[in-house]
Amino acid sequence: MSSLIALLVASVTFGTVLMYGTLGEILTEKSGNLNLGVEGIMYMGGAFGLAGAFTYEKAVGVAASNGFVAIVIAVVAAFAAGAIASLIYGFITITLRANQNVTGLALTIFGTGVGQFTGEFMRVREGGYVALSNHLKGAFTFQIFPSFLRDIPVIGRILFSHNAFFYIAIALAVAMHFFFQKTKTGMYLRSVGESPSTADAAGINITKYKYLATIIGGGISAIGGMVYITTTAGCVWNHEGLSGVGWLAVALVIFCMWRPLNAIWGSILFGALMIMYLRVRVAFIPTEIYKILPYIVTVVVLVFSSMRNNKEKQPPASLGVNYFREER
Amino acid sequence: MKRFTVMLVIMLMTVGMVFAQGSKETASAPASGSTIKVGLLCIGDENDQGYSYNFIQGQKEATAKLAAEGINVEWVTKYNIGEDSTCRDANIEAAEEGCKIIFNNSYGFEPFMLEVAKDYPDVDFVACTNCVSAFDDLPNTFNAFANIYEGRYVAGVAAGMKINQLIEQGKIKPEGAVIGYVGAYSFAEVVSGFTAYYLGAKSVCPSVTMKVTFVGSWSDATAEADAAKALADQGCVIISQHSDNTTPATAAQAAGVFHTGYNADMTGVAPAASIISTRIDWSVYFTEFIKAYVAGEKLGQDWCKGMDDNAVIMTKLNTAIAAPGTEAKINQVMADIAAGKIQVFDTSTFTVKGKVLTHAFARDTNGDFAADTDEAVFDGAFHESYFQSAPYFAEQIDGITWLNAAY
Repeated sequence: MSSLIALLVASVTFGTVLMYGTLGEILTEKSGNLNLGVEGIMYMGGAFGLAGAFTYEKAVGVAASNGFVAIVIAVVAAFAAGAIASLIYGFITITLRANQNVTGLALTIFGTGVGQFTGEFMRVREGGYVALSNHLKGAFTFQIFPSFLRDIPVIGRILFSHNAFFYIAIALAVAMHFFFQKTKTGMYLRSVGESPSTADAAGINITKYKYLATIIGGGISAIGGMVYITTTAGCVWNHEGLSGVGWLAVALVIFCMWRPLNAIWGSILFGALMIMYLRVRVAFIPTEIYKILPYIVTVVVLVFSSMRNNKEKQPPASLGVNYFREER
Repeated sequence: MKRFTVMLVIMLMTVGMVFAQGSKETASAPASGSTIKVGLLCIGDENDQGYSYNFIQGQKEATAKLAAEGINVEWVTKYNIGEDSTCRDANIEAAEEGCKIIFNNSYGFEPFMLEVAKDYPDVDFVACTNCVSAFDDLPNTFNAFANIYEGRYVAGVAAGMKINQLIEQGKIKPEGAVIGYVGAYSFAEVVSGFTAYYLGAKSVCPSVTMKVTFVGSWSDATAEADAAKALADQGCVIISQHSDNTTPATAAQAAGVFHTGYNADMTGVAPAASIISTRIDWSVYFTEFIKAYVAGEKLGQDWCKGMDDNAVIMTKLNTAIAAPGTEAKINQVMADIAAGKIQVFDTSTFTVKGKVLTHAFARDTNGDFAADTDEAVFDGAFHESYFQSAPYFAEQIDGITWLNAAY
């Protein structure tokens, strides 16, 4: 039982990173833009988020640094990095109407490179490690709920033992759900993703919606990268960190059927699948089988969803297709 | 026009990626006097702060040592070389650029290096950590390693003393003395390392046991962090590693347990967890090899030195968290190892399936990765790195639980 709880708690740590990546990509894809650059965006978010907190700590000194301020700076820096990367993507695909897949892939390579460069630049300038002090490390992994809640048997650890990023991600998922389902702007955005020509005829500014969704979505995804660096990677710049998490987020969007609420349990499930080989061992099943589980699950979900042909559970109809008003 | 702009932007991004993360190459400026051109091919770069970083530290120190003796080395260093045909190309490039010696730093480089070596008989090719070059029929191919198991044994002693302190303080029970080890692959190099580490800990704390997880990669920051966390969750109070990243150290700190490292001093990233690290000082080999080459001599084709020659060293002890008396104890152990008083794999200190180890082969001669030649157990100890530099201890001894395996 205790190992099951430990697995759940660890899944949440990894799942939170995925949740940000997935929620950001859901927002982007709801506008009809398939941004395959999530991996690069998250990488940049990680590098710039750490750079933000690290520079802040350097500037004010370890003793005077405030954990809350560091977190805000890291979030803002990561968001800005993701937003700028997505702006490039948006400019190329929305304004110039280039192929979305090619642009997304290029953005992955570009973002990974920029992230590497930033991290390496910091490290070389420091002449050693880029690491936050213990004080700030503690701030980033601070468990926000008081110990009497955490000490409740079983559910205490499962529900209350996580850091703030997890609860913010859940709030974000719920907010996004309401945004899509209940607000006028959210429905406009969905209509842009489903049928841009119809939305255009209704007087919705397609360009504005696509740009905003892509940029904000990219920013949210990038926060996931920052959360990865400050939790899993222990606030230390890591060569080759984060490899593949962005792709997992793209797969997770499909798995969640483009629904933010599904992203909550979906991310935790994927988080569990990724680390299960370290904790739940079944004899004769090699580690590699465990590692491909998330992708197998995604394929199975795709097959089932297309077989059922349920109109509610489909990708945005214009996903991946650029909108040319003149082509109507 | 629009299409052109799009193409331009995409091309710019692609070029940007090449600059930012592609394989790079640097050549130090040629100096006057007797100068020798030497290649160093690395699987990563300094930024891994682990494996390749350690080689580059060795490179820098060797350059300084040789310069003091009037030998100028012009290095051709190539970073981020893959264990594939890019390694062959890198070896050809280095040879064509006029390198007289080419060091290949990764285990997987050897087959590609050997393909090239026969075309350049005047160039010496060294495959660090591997084991084929020493025994093939090419006179210009070499292997080298150091007795890193000695360093791991010493790190194990430091870990064992920390565990003893935790037991004395009543924080854990003697049967709760569990070490967690994040290994890369279930290869002899890793098995030898963690067994030595375990025996070091056991020499001061008899009740200690160990759990080993293999992550299936030499460098995967995320998997290493998850593995360390999983081990801590399973009750391990000390984490050690044979993998390239610092994430086991930071994960140990986050989980409130202790850690000892490999390749680099990790007390900077995890000051509340990392006690000590061990590393190979490659400058010893680089200096010897280059000096011999310049003097017109050749070193043996299989080089292996240990603590007695400072080829294996310990990083600075983190005295703030180490158990009292650790410094004196490990100095004593290091002196005993150097003097030959301590045999790391003394067969009286461990059992395999309840029995004393009386027989194990050292070398594999038919390429099936199972040793079939040279009896390694004699004089009451398993003789590691005796018949070849690359480690070959692959027994699963009692007290160590393998949680999984990865090849």
